Order: sequence, then C-alpha cells, then structure tokens
Amino acid sequence: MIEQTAPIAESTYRELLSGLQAILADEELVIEPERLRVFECDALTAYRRMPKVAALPRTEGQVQRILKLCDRLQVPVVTRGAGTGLSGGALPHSAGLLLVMSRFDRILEIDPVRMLARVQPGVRNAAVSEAAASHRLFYAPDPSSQIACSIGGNIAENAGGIHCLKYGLTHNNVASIRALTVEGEVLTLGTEALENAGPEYRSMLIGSEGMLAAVTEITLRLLPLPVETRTLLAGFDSVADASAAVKGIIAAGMVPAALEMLDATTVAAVSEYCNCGYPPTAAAVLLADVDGAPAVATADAEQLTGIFRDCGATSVSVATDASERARLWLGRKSAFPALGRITPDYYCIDGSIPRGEIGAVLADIEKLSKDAGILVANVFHAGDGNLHPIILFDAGKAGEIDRVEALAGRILERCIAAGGSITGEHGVGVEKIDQMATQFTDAEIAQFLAVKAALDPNGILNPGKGVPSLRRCQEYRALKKHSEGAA
Amino acid sequence: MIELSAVEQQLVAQVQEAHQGGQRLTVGGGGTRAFLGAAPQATRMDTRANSGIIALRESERTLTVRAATSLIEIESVLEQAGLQIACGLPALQPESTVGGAVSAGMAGPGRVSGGDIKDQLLGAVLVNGRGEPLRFGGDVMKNVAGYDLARLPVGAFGDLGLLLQLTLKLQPRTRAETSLHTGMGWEQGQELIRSLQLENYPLLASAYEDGNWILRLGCERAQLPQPLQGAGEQPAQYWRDLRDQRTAFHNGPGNLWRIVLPQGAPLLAHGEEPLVAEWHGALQWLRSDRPASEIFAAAAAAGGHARLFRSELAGLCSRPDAGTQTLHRKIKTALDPHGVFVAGPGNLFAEGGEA
Ligand SMILES: Cc1cc2nc3c(=O)[nH]c(=O)nc-3n(C[C@H](O)[C@H](O)[C@H](O)COP(=O)(O)OP(=O)(O)OC[C@H]3O[C@@H](n4cnc5c(N)ncnc54)[C@H](O)[C@@H]3O)c2cc1C
Ligand SMILES: Cc1cc2nc3c(=O)[nH]c(=O)nc-3n(C[C@H](O)[C@H](O)[C@H](O)COP(=O)(O)OP(=O)(O)OC[C@H]3O[C@@H](n4cnc5c(N)ncnc54)[C@H](O)[C@@H]3O)c2cc1C
Repeated sequence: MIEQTAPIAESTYRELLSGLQAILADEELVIEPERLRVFECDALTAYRRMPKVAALPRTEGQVQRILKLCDRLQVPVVTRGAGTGLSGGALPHSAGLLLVMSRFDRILEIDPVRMLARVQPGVRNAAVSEAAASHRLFYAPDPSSQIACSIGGNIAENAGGIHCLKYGLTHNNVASIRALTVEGEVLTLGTEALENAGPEYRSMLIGSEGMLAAVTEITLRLLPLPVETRTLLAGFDSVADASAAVKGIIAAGMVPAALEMLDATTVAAVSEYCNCGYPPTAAAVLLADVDGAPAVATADAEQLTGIFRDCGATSVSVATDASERARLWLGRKSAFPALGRITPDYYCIDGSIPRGEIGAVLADIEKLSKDAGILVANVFHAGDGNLHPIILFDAGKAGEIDRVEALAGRILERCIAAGGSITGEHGVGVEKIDQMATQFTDAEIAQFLAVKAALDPNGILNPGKGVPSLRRCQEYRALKKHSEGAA
Repeated sequence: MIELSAVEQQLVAQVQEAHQGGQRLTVGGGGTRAFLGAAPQATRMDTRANSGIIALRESERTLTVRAATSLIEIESVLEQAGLQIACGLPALQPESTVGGAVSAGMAGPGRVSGGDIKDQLLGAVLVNGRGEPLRFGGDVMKNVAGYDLARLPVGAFGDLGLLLQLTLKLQPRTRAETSLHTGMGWEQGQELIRSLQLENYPLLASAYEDGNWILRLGCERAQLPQPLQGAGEQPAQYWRDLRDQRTAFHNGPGNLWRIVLPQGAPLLAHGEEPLVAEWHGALQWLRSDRPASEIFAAAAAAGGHARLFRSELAGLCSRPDAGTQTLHRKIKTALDPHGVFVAGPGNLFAEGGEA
C-alpha cells in the first residue's frame, strides 16, 4: 500500500529547481522522466514511483545544502544507494527528491594496523573486501547482493549475509558513521576505538532505513581472512530432520561461519539450473562453512558431520579445495535465478525466528501455502533463524497479487507468534509497514515516531516508510480483527 | 504485551508518578557507585528487587534477565550450562548488576574475541520518561524492525530510561584453554598477536603488565606455534581478577584512568607511570597524576577516549563533540520529555565532564 501524497506546488518546484541548480552541475541533476525512469523502484519491483527530481551529488557539502533546501521547502527526500533493497526503502516519493549516493564511490583508506576501512557510502560491499585482501583482511557482512549493494544501503538496512552467523551483522562491524541530519548538522557516531563512549547512537542509525539522516562516510571494521574453510553439504529426507540438525548444531555450542537451508522446491530448481552436486530429490539440504586455523576447521568439520548424521542426514559431503567449495555454494547462490525459471514472478519474505522454531514454522508455512494454493520455496540463513520464504506466483493472474500479499502477511504474523520479527535483514520499507502494528504496541510506535521527529521535525526523510502512523496502526489492527472475525 | 512482575509494575508506577509530579530520578543498579552520589535534586531509585533470571534458552544460546540481577549469579548459572557472555561483564563488586554493567557499557577482557557490550545485547524492555514500558529488539539473532532502541541505552548511564529486562546473546565456552605469559615486551608481543590473528589462532584475550604480554587462547598448548611452546603457564583465574579489578595495580594509589583506543595504538604511559593494557593494547589502564586535560588530549590524539575511573573525581571523561551533544539533547527529550531520568555519575553528558 502506498500512501497518497499531494503533488508538489508549482511555485515550490520552481524554487527547488533553482536552488538545486545553484548546488549541482547540470549533469548532477536529473529532471527528465526518461532519465528518471531507472530510479522508479528498488529490487522490490512491485512498487514503482517516479521521483520529481533526482540529485547525484559528489560532495558532502552538496548533500548538506540539498537537505537544508528540501527541509526549508518541505520537499520529501528519499536517499538511494544501489537500489538493491527488497522492502521498497529506496522507492522514490512522487512529490520529492531522490538523493542518489552512487557517486560517493571512493574507498578513502584501508588501515591494516587498526584493521579499519574508511569508505564513502556508494562503495559496493564486495569492493571493501577486495581492497583489504592484500592485507589478509576482509569486511565480513556479505549480503547475497554484495557485488551490487552499497555500504550506505547496508548501514541503512543493517544488512546481513551468509557469514553473519560467526562474524556478525552490519551493526557488529561498524566503527563509526558520519551522517547529515536534514537540518544539515554533521553527526559523527561511534568510534575507531574498540568501545564507544556514551549511548549507542551508532546502533540507532544503523537499520534506520534512510529515515533519520543521510550517511556520508563510514569506517568499517575489518577481520583477518579465514586461513582455511571447509564447506559441508548434507541432504535430508525431511525438513524436520534438517531443522533438528540446525537446532542440534547451535545447542552443541558450535559456531559455523555459515549455515544455510534449501528446501525441496529450491533444491530441485537449482539442480536443474546448474551443476552444483546437490542430491536433487532431497527434502532439504543444509550448506555450512566452518573456518579458522586448519586444525580448528578440521575438527569442526568432523563434529558437524557427526551432528548431521545423528540427525538423519542421508548424505554428507565435505569440500576442502576452492573449486569444490565454489561448486557447492553455486547452488545456494543460484537459488533466485533458478527459482525465477520455474515461476513468472516471485516474492521474497524476511521473517526472523528463534532457531529452535524453524521446523514448526516451516511446517506451518507449508500449510499456509497449501491453503492458499500458492507455492512457497525456502532458502535461508538457518543458523541465524532468518527465514526467506519465497512465494512463487504469476502476477498476470487476476487477484493473484492480493492473495500473495495476504499469504505473506500470514507468514510474517506466524513469525511474530513464534517470538520473532517481521524482518531480519531486509527492512520494513513500504512493504511491511502494516505488520509493524502487530509487532509493536502503540506506545512503542509512538516512541519511534518521537525519535524520528527529534531528528527530522518536518518529516522530510523517506516519509511513509518504516514506521507507520498511529492512525494507520489502529486501522490495520481493526481491519485484521474484522477479517479474522469473518473467517 | 509485556508481562511485568509486581516489582516491575511498582517501578513503572514510580516513573509515572515522577513524570506527573515533576520529580527526578537517578536509577540505581547494585548501588556500587552510590558513594559517588545521586545528581542534585534527584532521588535515587532503588531497583535491587528487580532481580532474577526470566529465561535461559540453552539451545538458542540466549538469556533473558531482570536488570538488577547480579553478575555473579548470572555467571554461575551460565557456567553450569557451559555458556558465557562473550565479552565478559566486569563484576567489580559482588552487588554489581547486569543493568548497571550494560548502562556503563564497559566490556571485559573478552572484548577482542567476543565484541563489545552492544554486541551481546539482543533485546531490552525500557521504561521511558513517561513511565511506558517498551520492548525493543527481541530474543532472535536478527531483527531490523523499527529503530534500534534496544542497544541505544548501552553506555547511557541511565539517562535515557530505566531498563527492566535484557536479552543477551550467549557464547559456548571453548573446549580447551591455554594461558601463557610470553615474556615478550610491548612491540614484540603486538607483532606476535598480529600474526596469531592473521593465522586465525583462537586468541580470546590479552593483557600487558610489568612489560610482559599474557595471552589467553582457546586451544591446547600443543596446537600453538613454535614461539609459544616454551612460554610459562598463567593461571586461568588471572582473567577473572583482571576483569573484576582484583589486582594490586587497580587498587594502587593515585588516579586510575581507563583509556579506550583503536587497535595498534601506542603506549600512553609516561616514564614510570604504572600501566596495564588489555585488548591487544586498545584498552589501557593508567595510573597517572598528570592533569586530566593532558590525558584527554593524549587519548584523543591516539583516536580514543578516556575516563577517570578511580579517584575522588571519578566520572570525569572525554567530552563528546558538539554534534553528539545536540543529538543527545534531542533524543533525550524524545524519550524523556520532562527530564525525569538524571544519569548516574560518570555519564558523558554530565556538567563539568571534561576538565
Ligand atoms: C538478489 C538479492 C539478494 C539480497 N541478499 C541480501 C542478503 O543476503 N542480506 C541482506 O541483508 N540483504 C540482501 N538483499 C537486500 C539489499 O541488497 C540490502 O538491503 C542492501 O543493504 C541494500 O543496499 P543498496 O545500496 O542497494 O540500498 P538501496 O536499495 O538503494 O536503499 C536501501 C535503503 O537504504 C537507504 N540508504 C541508501 N543509502 C543511504 C545513505 N547513504 N544514507 C542513508 N540512507 C541510505 C535508502 O533510503 C533505503 O531506505 C538482497 C537483495 C537482492 C536483490
Ligand atoms: C567513572 C566510573 C568509575 C567507576 N569506578 C568504580 C570503582 O572504583 N569500583 C567499582 O567497583 N566500580 C566502579 N565503576 C563501575 C560501576 O560500578 C559499574 O557500572 C558496575 O559494574 C555496575 O554495578 P551496579 O549494578 O552497582 O550499577 P550502578 O553503579 O548502580 O549503576 C551504574 C550506572 O548504570 C545506571 N543503571 C543501573 N541500573 C540501571 C537500570 N536498570 N536501568 C538504567 N540504568 C541503570 C545507573 O544510573 C548508573 O549510571 C565505575 C564506573 C564508572 C563509570
């Protein structure tokens, strides 16, 4: 649901344009619809909207002046990184400005002694690890979109990745952030030192979906590259067995670097799509990395193999050399394109649950999927309890999108009921804004709104995203009650 | 909805009354800092009854506790379960509480392997200045719904609200452990640490004292590289004494400074000033009677910050920059519009912070 907004007044628009022309060079300002078209959506393509203008500044000074100008004219600002977001966070505002950060693309410094990388927000995630590799260091959070997504977008979404189980999420790997409030104030949050002093404002900004400030520079913590990695693949006859293995691994006190699950639908699709060596008829596979010093990696691989077998794995293989490991990971990494071949459209959900609940929640998702008559595939970060149910559908069918949205809503509510969250890493954006009313009370929502108002009193930054108004919460809850009563 | 105990309901009511009646409260944890006094015009709020473990989920590796639970109790329960809080929470007194430790935001020797205090935190129930109990974060590993107000109170010294409950991430204890004194001085030891890091040895903690690096590794001695095979054994108890400051050094005369720096920072001691370092050198405890301004300047020049830890003036600390001060005023007002909560001594924004 996109909230309706009033169009920008003609006089405001003229003032905005002349203001922007004073700040930006011609080629840094986009107003022609045909050139704005590339910005109309992020990776949640079901939502599209054209911005009024797009600015592509190169300096922090320009960003500061743009923000102040928009704040004065009360023109909405949506910041955009690489546009790979999956919750519509970078969806433009039709009466607003799109602040495109892609030209902030420089790695300013790699400091091997302090193990820090100072980067601009438009730098691609993978580029940081590439630049640090010669020092035997890397930047750990590795979203599957890492060749494209930007560090600024990672900060805004608190992005996770395959190896976050051992190495942490974005928020665990950020030293400091430089950002601008909409009033043009410079914030430097966090520290290069190993501990922050004072309240965790750095954490408050991470995951704030471009609603509190525009990030202009980030100092990331780097970690020593794993010396040795073993990749394990285990096939299972049932999702329940695979889920029990996940639970067993955590309970045994193991910390694999990665632990991913693919269900039967996904395994079949990737086995068709690429030569990844998965047992093609398995009901579920688990894919894990264990890493560290050679002796540790070897011991962990043995322990993990034991747990897989104890939990009824029908096959376990261990890959040591790089090409074998890459082949096993190819299946996981091909999951989205492979599923894309068996369905006209798909929609990826992002629920987070306790790891011990995976089996029960997946069983219920299957039931919900059957009831709705819509297929759901699962490929996800099992070790973190971060589900990614993928709804396979055909947007061409009448009414299908509404049924898909309803199914997605029910799946998220099931995650909340399991003690979880409506989003583990993709953010709320426009997509999950209604379910915020289920996860949070009015007092909690009001507190979020008060924090937002403290930094952005005119509500200029990314309006209509992330945190719903109290009225919207009440309407949603009433609607839900009504439809539950009817069912 | 949040289930609150009778004690918690009373605490909430106390905040509500203060909000309505214009009173000011300083939250007390175990009260180990009580001698530093409450801020002027503020009443000390005794939270000690809000204690106890709500849920230890061993198979999830999470712990939910009431904020005034003592660190000693938590540690003994976790020990039995073979689990731990990865960074170590200093229990400076038997009465020290988890709420106090999180609010002070100061990690123990495990920081270098287990992250800082915010890295341990998954969720919190926070009472804001209006007396509304709010739940942020949760019991799950990943949660990005709403702003991260669960970790915000880390290091806030009670300025942003009353913590009632905390959910922490737990880490398994290592299967094996070896502690060694290397006989290596500052630079040689740092080089060794660096190569151990790059070789992925499970380096859990390090300490530098009396010109000698002491290492704690999560493996058998036989698995360590050559230069460490002959190193002398260090009793494991050492790390707990260091964490909880039960050492002659920490209890010696003069001002004790806690200086937090980036990895690779230089030694900040002048001449014969006693110094103990942790975190591969990034945490330096310095006994020095140099003027505070000099210590603050040295810490800042090395990319860090300092806090006067033990002295009559305890609480003095490096001042945040102007942007952070403005931000803090705004967020403080958003959480606590009537200014009910007055941070305990030692908070960053206290008047007369930096000398
Ligand atoms: C195939 C695929 C796989 C993915 N896999 C993962 C995964 O494994 N883990 C994961 O976490 N995510 C994943 N994602 C989602 C997405 O890549 C991440 O959310 C990523 O962090 C978004 O970065 P971006 O630069 O594309 O941001 P955008 O999509 O451009 O923007 C995302 C949000 O960030 C804000 N923003 C961007 N830059 C700034 C800035 N400089 N200052 C302030 N706000 C800013 C925007 O306003 C918006 O709210 C995946 C996406 C795709 C398409
Ligand atoms: C400058 C400084 C010097 C110190 N020196 C010493 C020392 O010499 N000896 C020593 O033993 N320890 C010292 N400490 C450590 C301090 O006592 C630790 O924070 C302690 O481990 C916590 O114990 P406590 O439960 O008694 O907390 P308290 O001392 O009661 O509280 C610590 C801080 O946290 C806040 N707080 C406590 N509980 C909550 C809650 N539930 N919600 C919100 N806020 C809360 C308080 O308002 C206070 O600001 C010092 C700390 C500082 C900052």
